[in-house]
Amino acid sequence: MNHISLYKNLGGEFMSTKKATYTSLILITLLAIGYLVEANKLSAANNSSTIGPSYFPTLLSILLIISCVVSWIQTMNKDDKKFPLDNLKVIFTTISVTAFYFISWYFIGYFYLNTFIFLMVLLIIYSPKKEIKKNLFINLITSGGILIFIYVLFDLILKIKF
Amino acid sequence: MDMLNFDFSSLFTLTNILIILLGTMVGLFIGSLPGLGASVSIVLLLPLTFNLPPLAAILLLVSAYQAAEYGGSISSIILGVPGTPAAAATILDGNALSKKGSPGKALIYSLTASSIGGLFGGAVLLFFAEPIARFALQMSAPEFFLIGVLGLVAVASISSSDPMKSLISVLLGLMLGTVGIDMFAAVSRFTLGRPELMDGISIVALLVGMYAISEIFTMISKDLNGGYTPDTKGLKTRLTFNEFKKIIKPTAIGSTIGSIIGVFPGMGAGSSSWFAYIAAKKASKNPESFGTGNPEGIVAPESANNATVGGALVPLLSLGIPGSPATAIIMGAFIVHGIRPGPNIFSSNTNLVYGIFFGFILATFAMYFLGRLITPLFSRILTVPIRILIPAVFILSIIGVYASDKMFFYLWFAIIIGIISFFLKGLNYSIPALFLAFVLSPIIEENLRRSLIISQGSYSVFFTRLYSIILLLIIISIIVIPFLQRMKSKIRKKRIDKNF
Repeated sequence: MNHISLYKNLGGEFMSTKKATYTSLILITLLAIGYLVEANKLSAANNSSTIGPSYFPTLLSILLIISCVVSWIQTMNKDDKKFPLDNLKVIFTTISVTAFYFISWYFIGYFYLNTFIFLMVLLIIYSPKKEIKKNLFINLITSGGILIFIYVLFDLILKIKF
Repeated sequence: MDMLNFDFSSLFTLTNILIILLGTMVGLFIGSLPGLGASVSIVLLLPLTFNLPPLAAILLLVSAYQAAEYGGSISSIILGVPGTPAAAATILDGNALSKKGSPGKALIYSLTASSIGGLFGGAVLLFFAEPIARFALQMSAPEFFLIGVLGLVAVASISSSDPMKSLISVLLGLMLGTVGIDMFAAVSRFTLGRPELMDGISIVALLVGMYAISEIFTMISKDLNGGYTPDTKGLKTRLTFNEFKKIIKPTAIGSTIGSIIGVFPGMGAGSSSWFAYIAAKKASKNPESFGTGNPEGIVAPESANNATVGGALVPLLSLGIPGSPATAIIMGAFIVHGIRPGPNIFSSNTNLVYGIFFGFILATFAMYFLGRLITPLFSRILTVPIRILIPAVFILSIIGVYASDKMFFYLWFAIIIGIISFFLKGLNYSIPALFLAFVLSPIIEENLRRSLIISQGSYSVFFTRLYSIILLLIIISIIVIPFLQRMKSKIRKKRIDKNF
């Protein structure tokens, strides 16, 4: 799947900076509203005076909502550009592999084995397709080297157990 | 004078010298690893201090603290990932100069400035410990609130070309800083029922997510098959006299700002480096070249963050108030040895206090010479292809988060923050402003609420005190001057357009 089709699968055309900014501002505003609701619950629960635990958060959320509105208006008056994103597929793959690594480390254990596989997978993903076989030995040495470094520094010297 | 009566033979023992070298080595190394900053270096060395004499114990931690502040700049310059929060400002010009093919030069600028800053901080510690601490005591909640706001305004004004997005970043950072137990009412806020968030968001996880992981995604999105420096031509690590002459002024600015900021509890090296960067940019003959690899933009924050170390030890030793997380851990080592820092320490443990002062200066020299040895080795990391460098940095960042918090929750948190930061950076939001706001949030909130409680809700408390008025004027000038300059340049452009 090339990047264009991936972008399309993710929601249409290449995203413009304007559209991406609007999306971010909507999400931040929703976050600010949620934060404000939580802050109000705090003042209700504590029956606090004006300067209680909700005072500062309320101030922040109101300022944030106002800032998002102003930023929205400013964005409307700006020229549009292409949102700078390349290698999105590799980024998504990296995130997915990392998620599998965390799950495997948490549920199965064997930190060093998991880490070795994780490093190998990343090195293979990042290798040019034509050079995967050629780089296999280098990748094995690199993964092993990093693992030994981690073992010596963290396990032997700093006594941090994984 | 006590300083002149100090018995130097108690400092120049083999144990103390070896301890300073060990602390410096560990600080340089741990500080350079993304996510593992000065606090982690000190925490990791703390168990070693239990069996040491008090002076050696404190010198081990102090030398690690000092060296970690320089070490943090190594990964900032080479990888564009700050090893410590204080090295975030160094990325702007340090990494830019490195990408231009002069990583060695960027590192030697950083090392020289860090050493001068460290010596300056040491001199401040030696000569001004008591008077400066007394001056800081005159400041109270309204001034500390305004100093925090000043830091935010200053950073937000330079770290993004979109002021409104900088403001949004600041507000998001302040919001993140409110997560955890409220310091006044002792109620949990915005923890989503997660016990991991009760003590607030882990600074290491946030730092790694914002800088290391988002930088990894940026590296992937740019060019996986490249490398920063294809050969070793740019790895020269010598500084000529002319190059040194050019950095004297910004280094002096950074050292002065760093040592003053360090004295104020809570401000720390993170904010001092940004203050210094801004001040150096304003004082520079070429402010437009800042952010493109200007050495002045490297030496100012680097001298500041090392000068802050000396400054931060001032309130710890003379008042018993730790000014930063790192000094709080060092205070723990004092207590383990049955010594309580404070005004009485100057009379009860004179030799220990001056031993720390002079040992601190010795540790700065150790940092310079060991840094000279190690810096070229680190510079050569750049010759490694990016596709190999990314997994190495990624796994060290993950381990840094785990080693700091020992919670899987924060591994997920760091990844999510990394993804969000990657997109926010792409949309011109300010990550440095967001992070600094997070660090300053508890100080700003605590002092705002304390001020308003004292004044019974009246905001006049911020306008009626001399120091507050001075700080307010500085804040206003930071906001207004760039605005006026922009207006001026617009008018000038219009005039030129009319003439043609």
